[in-house]
Amino acid sequence: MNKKMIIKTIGRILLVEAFLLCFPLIISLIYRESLKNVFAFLITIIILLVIGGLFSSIKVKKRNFYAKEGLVIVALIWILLSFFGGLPLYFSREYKSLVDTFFEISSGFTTTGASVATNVEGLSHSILFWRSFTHLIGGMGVLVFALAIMPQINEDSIYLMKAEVPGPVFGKLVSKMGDTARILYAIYLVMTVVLIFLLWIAGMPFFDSMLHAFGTAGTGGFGIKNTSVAFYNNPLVEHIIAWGMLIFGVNFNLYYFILIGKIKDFFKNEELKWYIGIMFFAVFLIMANVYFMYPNISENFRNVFFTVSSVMTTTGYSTADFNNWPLFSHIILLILMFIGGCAGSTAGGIKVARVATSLKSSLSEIKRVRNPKQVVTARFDGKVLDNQILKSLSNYYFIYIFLFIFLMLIVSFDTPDFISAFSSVAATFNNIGPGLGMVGPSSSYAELSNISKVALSFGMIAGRLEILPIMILFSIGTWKKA
Amino acid sequence: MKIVIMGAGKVGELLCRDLSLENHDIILIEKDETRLTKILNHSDVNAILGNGASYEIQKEAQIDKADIFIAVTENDELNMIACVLAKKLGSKQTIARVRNPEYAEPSELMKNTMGISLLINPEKQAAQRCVQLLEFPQADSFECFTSNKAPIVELRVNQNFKLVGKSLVEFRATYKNLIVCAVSKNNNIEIPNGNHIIEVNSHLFVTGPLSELEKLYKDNGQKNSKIRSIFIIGGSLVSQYLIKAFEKSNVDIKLVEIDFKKAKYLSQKYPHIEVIQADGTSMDDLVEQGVQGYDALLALTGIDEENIIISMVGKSLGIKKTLTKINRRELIDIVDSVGLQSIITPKRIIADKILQYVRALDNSQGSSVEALYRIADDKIEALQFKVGEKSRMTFQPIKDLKLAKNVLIAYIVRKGKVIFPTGNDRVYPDDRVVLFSNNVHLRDLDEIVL
Repeated sequence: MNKKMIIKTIGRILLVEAFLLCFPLIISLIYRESLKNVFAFLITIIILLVIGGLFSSIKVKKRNFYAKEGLVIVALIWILLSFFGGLPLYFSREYKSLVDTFFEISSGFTTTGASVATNVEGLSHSILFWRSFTHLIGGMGVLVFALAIMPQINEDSIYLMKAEVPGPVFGKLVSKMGDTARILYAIYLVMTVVLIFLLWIAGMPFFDSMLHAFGTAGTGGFGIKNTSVAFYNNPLVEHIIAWGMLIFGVNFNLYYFILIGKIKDFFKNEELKWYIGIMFFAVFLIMANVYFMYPNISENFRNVFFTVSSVMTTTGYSTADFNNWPLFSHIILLILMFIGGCAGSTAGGIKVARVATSLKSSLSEIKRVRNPKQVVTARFDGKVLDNQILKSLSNYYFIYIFLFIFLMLIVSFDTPDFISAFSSVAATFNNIGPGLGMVGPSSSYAELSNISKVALSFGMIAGRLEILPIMILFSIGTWKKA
Repeated sequence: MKIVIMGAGKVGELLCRDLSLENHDIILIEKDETRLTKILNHSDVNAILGNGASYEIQKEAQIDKADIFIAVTENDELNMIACVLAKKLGSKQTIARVRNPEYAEPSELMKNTMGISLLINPEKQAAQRCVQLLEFPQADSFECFTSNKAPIVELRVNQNFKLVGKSLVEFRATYKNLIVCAVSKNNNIEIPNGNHIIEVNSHLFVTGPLSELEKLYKDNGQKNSKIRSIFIIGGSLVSQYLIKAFEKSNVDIKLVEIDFKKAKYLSQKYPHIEVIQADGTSMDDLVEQGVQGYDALLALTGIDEENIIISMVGKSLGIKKTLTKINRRELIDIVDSVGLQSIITPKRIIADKILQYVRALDNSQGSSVEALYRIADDKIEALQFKVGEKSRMTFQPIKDLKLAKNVLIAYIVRKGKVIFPTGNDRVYPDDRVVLFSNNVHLRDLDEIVL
């Protein structure tokens, strides 16, 4: 374990966060907010500069850097960034405790969108901006961002990027990792800017459209109104955000294919077909289930499509209070929460690729049982699924379920019913945001105890990083001398 | 530059690491997935799984946009086919590793007919390196640039060397024409200044005229004795190239090979040498064959560990010069602590060769790299540049130039004459400048002028 190297890398990333905090600072100056807010950001920036500066000035003798170090760094960075990112919220006294701010910013960086704020409309502009800005950065990854802006990167930093980009597979677009990170971020930011523009044209105030675009791009979903997107009462805005979420739930590598003119490869992608298929099948089922609640089909489609897109891409914006929908719709939504978006997108959840792969391999198992002599090979996206892939997949599910139950046990102390306990874990662990029951779209996580909040914060980070980095951080073997 | 490498063996791995650090865009093609993932984890390259000699894969690697295609798989024929295809599909330059002499000679004809820009043969290069080391047996390593007049030699300082504890200023006073270019001790290497104190067991990399170098080694307790007989263990390709190289000299060669068939083949092919079928790692067999009576022992089997043991046995028997072939880089540090003399690593030699070729291509206008050697675990590079017309270094006294730190100009070659420069010497176009630098990745001479 190369501890010095870990500390040094963490120091550098903390400096990056200090830089990122300058944006909300500027916002608070533009809106002439009280000195309390300005100082909240300034003090945090100074703290980060001091700690980051100290850490990054450490002299490293051995530069060895392996998978283990990469995973530990990623896990620690996400925890520390969430903690330090929460400080301005605490200093500005708009949030009550450090636990609340840690929860809020973990929720931001992991693009969950679960909030402990009971009255978001009472928060100041800079705080609202910072919350949504963490969605934008967390969506594509903090380390990917660091890789994109740092000129010279360590040859072994591939471990960092691998650990941070969501999904079971990781592929570079071009041979240089720094360039890959830059291309990804460029696509991401351009799409975000287009979205801001569209929302603005559609009639949203500029500040609001910026924040909603951040939340959509990162598939985060922090609302800035108590009734989330429903506040604007603007069907066009709802459509733009719904399609926006869908687009940001697609693997970004595919957009690169479009960019270099390989449009065929884009449409050939099997995960994309599954993703679109599942989404519209769910829309159809729920529309049929709730048709009596809406006056006409277009309103029905708008509300259902918005909700399905929001839940499946793990964003968490809401227009309709889906708590009032029938149980059948609830269960469909819960299933979508688990499936999540595509690998390599900003969305969370188990990922469509994993679900589809398991489904296909189970189908081939049926064939094998029916005719034991038949030689069956399951394929996904043209590639043969060998035993190694399937084995690591089933192990992933096991760890996933194990952690899920563990979190649910902790939360069960504070929740009144099963659906609240289950959906609060499902909604945070899969990085969605609002759940059902006590934590439904019209309420918040404020009522939970501190222990539950901390547990769910770690759950969010574990979910965003696909569990393993956090598990490795807490396993004893990692810290042994060897 | 855009470089496509085929084959993720040891050479492929070295090239991926070195070339990606020099900021080239690299695509690696390899059939074996585990090897590919291993390299992907360590080097910043992109990879394609498959046969690099196939049209499909080369298209996928966008070979038409590639500047260089390098084929370094184990298989000569595959390398050559892949290069021919790559050239036809639009790769600007192609490099193939070809070890079988039947394909590689005559090299100009083969290169022209197949359109391959560079054919490299690790075994042949290694054999040439062995010959150099045997010509100047005192040195632990011996690198020559275009002129043979001023080689760079490695010297391990003995206890009774008279300048131990003295500074390099005094060294220069004793040996007027010698320059210490680098000093390494316990895996630490630096380019020294005049205040550096010479320590026992440190390695000095020295350049200068041969006669004066010989004097230096004599003072270090190493006599200059010409090698008249060599004892080779292992009938590998390197050994065969070596035997060929010594064919016309009257050096006495005995070769030990464990495999009977191979031994027989060698005795038929090279009737002028003595071929023994025996186990080269067995001390009894070696003593029986009178190994003590030979001037040099060359351990050239395919197994690193055997080679190391053979050389240690040779050393204990009192043989003056031992030469060990080691393929695995990790072992080199350990071997140094055992006190073995010269080590050759064929795969590194050709990785250096390719690196030099790529860097020269990368800079065809200015003062380009003509030769490159890396010493001490690649931390220091010795480079020879041809000075270009427009170089900023020309026409002024060297002392007036602001040179980068950690760069040392060893010597200048002008019209075949070697000049060991003082501050008042000047550099002119078409000179060759040989320098040492630990700022790796130098591509142009002007990069050292601030």
